[in-house]
Amino acid sequence: MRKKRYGFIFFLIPIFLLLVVFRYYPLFSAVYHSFTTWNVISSKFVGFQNYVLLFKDNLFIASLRNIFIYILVSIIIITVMAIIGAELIFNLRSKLSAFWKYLFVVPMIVPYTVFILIWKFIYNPYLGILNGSLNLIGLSSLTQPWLGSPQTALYAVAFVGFPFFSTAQFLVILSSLQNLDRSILESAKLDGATTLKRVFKIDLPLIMDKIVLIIILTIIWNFQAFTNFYLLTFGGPGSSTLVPGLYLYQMAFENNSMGYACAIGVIMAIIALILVFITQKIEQLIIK
Amino acid sequence: MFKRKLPLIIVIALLSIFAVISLYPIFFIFITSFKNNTEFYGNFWGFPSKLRWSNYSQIAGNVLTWLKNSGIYSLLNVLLDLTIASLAAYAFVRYNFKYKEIVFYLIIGLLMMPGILLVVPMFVEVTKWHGINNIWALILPWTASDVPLGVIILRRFFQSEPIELFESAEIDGASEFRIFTQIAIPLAKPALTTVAILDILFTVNDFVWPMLIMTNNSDKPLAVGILQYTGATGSLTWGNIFAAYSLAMIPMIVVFALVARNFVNAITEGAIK
Repeated sequence: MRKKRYGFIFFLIPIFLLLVVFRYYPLFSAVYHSFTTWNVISSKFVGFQNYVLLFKDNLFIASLRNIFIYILVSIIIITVMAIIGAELIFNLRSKLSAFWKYLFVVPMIVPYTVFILIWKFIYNPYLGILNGSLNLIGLSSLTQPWLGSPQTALYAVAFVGFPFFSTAQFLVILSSLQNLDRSILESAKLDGATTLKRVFKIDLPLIMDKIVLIIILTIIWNFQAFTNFYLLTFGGPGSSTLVPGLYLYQMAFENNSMGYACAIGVIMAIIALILVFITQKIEQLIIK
Repeated sequence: MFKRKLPLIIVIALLSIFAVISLYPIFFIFITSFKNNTEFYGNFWGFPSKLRWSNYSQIAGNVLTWLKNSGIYSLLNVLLDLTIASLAAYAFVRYNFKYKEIVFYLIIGLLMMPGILLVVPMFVEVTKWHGINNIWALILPWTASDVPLGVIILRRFFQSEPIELFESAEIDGASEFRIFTQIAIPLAKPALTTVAILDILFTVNDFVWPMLIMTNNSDKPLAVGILQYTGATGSLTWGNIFAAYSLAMIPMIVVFALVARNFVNAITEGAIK
């Protein structure tokens, strides 16, 4: 077997043609142009000028601060809610659990733009479902312009999608619980462990690797957040919800500063690599 | 004695509360899609007094066009990705060659890259080649961003296929391409389904690239076109807007009803990869 020699080239030509034109070349171009001032028509080499400017740019620094808060809040609420949801469903009999699982997945198939626009309406200060519900149950004092106030806007964006049961993170936790060895759980039951005790002493330690995985996924995905911020706040009010992806977009397509935008993108790529690297190191420590 | 199990009634109650939070907005959008502005403001929480289909007919032309575009673009992307990714995955499983590992990481390493970084240089290239509103300028970058995940999933699946099948076909004198199309691909249906579902989700949900490339209203995919319906202005009522959202959700709900199990598996597998 495997006597064939060069046939593999034929199988790999299409993918490399595609990737060279639409991945590697643009990547090279982005890195190169991050050292230039660039608009669509011309570019001029300026060395590290864009990077020097970036680290003095208060808006860029604000965008980094915002994205870290956003990621941190997301990690906490998504992970906690995914575990709560998966445990609740896991404690049901199998037929019932399938029903609930599919029910909770439904919002996931709403086209993402529509999903975000629905949340924009939920948060609408005058007509929205959230303030409307608060008024209805006599909590008018809590009503807010959720997306319109610098104190709440970033957190409001992070809570889009609550209770986060229609997420890949939830499905990963649920499937890893359902794949656990039943005999261990049965013996815990015989020992008289309460549900809560079982969750913390047995379930969670056994799926720790998957919990770390969903945290890594949340970091990678949310670090690149763009569409939700673009549609909900466009970075405002002020710069309270400006994030790097959005700032890159604004620089490139509204300011026509494409070299500067590329420098933002390169920094983003480097930070993404570092974040994943750190999380994987932490994962190795925990799982050992 | 203390309770060993969380009582079923509490579990169901909690799940119901979460289900309401999760699904009520969709339900609200749907019932409000039949209201006129008077009812929207005057009877915010209630049901509409009658089914005003005119809310739908006023927006259907646009929304159906965008949905059709999304469908065509997704289909083309799926076909391209399945072809290109399965060819590549097959090479990694059936051939041994120098630097195989490096070539593999050259492909899957792309998954770590923030997509928006490449949007700027690609947009400039597309502009130079007069590719704005060109369907391939939209789709090929999608395929390029989707193939790495496709290669991972398909490679793992090909590795699990029984090697004797390939070997006996080889002894029978079948060419490698024939083994690929006649044996490997038909067996790989579950993996191909997974990749196709993930591709459809990516293409239907992607926003920034189609917003930049597709500027003609009649060429826009749904994700971009729907931005026309964000607030009631002029003759546009909230009923119209929510009719547009409801109509936009229907095709995916139909697809979901048909392949719910595959869908859940695809998301889980795509995340674990």
